Amino acid sequence: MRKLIVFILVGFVLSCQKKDNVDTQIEQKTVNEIDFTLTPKHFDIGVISKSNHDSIHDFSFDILNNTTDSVYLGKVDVSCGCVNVIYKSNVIPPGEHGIVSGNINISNQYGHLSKAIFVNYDVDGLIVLRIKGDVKD
Amino acid sequence: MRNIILLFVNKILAVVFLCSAFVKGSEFNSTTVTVSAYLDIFNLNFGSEEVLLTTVFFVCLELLIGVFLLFNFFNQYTKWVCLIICVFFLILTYDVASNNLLTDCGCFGSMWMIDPWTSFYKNIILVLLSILSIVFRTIKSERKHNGFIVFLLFLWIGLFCVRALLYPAMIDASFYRIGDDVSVVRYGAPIFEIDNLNNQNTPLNVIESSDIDYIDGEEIFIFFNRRMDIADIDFGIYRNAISNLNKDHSILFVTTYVSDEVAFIKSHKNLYVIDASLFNAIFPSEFGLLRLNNGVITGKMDLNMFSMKLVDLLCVDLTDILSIYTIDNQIVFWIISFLFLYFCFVLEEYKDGPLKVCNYMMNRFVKIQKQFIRKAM
Repeated sequence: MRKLIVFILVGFVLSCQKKDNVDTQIEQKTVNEIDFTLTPKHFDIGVISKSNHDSIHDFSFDILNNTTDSVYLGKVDVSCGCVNVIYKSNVIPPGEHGIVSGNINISNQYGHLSKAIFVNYDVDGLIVLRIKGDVKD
Repeated sequence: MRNIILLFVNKILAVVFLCSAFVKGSEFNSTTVTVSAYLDIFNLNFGSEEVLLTTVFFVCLELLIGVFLLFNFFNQYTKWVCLIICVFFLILTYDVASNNLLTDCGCFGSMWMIDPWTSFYKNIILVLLSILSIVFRTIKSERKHNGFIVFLLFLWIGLFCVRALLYPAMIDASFYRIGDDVSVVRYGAPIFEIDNLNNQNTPLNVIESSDIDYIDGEEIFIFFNRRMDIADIDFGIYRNAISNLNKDHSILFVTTYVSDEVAFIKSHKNLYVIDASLFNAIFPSEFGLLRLNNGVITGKMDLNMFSMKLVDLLCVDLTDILSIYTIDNQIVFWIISFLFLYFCFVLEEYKDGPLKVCNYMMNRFVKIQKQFIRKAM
């Protein structure tokens, strides 16, 4: 029985440590948006009522490459499963435009929305696109 | 052989239930959010207090089953209750997993995330173990319980729940923890972005950088309110809390949603809105208190309806709360808890020993009393 109590104690402490270790692996990145012009700066889907049957709303971002070099847009990640990005990896030549589009499903959203789209470029660059809006009953 | 299987099965079940209850109790507010998510799935519109009570009920039930199985108390009933609970969760997790309703079952809180299908298989094993414990049950396995020990255990469970209600999570598993700079982008996580509802200039030094409002300068407190309309709660709680705050601090009210009906709150120039996912990334609860200094989190506490009302009732200065709720206090509680369980076990195992000690002490006390009376006479 003594071993059992020790086992519970050890198990509890280990379970606590496990999550802590996972969380320390959160990657912190520096955003560099100076080299780009984003249109719009953040996509505003406005005030949406849930009573409307259409729960999927499209968005589109235009990324203008202001640098003198071509930029390779890589992996795209999102902060919410509700955002679906329709996007193909491509190269944006200097002074040219790239498009990142997709849609957001608001069926499970409520209140103020502020969702981020993380666009990796080149080796370690990161552009953050944001979708904003308000979902009401 | 029969007895060995029974002992083995009982103890495994006890460990699972106790671990589950301990983890849920150590991050009670997070458990409340999980319970709330389950209730939402079945369209059960419970208020915050009802959700809180439901969570307390389940944590208590798991503790009771775990402790009673560990100490072999009320075997006949405990095992049947254990089976019913396991079957209930088996059906629930099957429904959640098959319809892909949740990503985490919440069985062991955020400390050990299990996907619903894994949880379903885990529950199959628990149901089988529960059936085995009933099938292999013998009359000998029923132990005559010690009323005093049962009382002590109930007392401990009560204290456990009060602690769970009052204290935030022992280990902060959120994306934004004390010492973190909120302006740093956490890849794949919600960005710390707050929007002023009225688009007014606040008395705070808010820097607009790349459309993200970062807070600069003095220390501030932020109240967060999640899932519910700010009008649903007693706004007096906030007002009293503010009156107790150090006036040197600026305050921002932050919520995830404000309805059109609450004009007086909407007109508040310091009212901000945030995304619900961001709220989840900061606080695993309905309310929270955050202290920032130049964008760095210097204090943080998640609150529930119970602790918020207690703060209101006691008129505690919120600056004190952030310093009271330290991790050291929590570790002391857990150590005392385990020592207490061990003490109960020792009392239970060596029933005659402590009773003899008590009798001896009582006799000594009576003798001393008699001697004292004689001398006085």
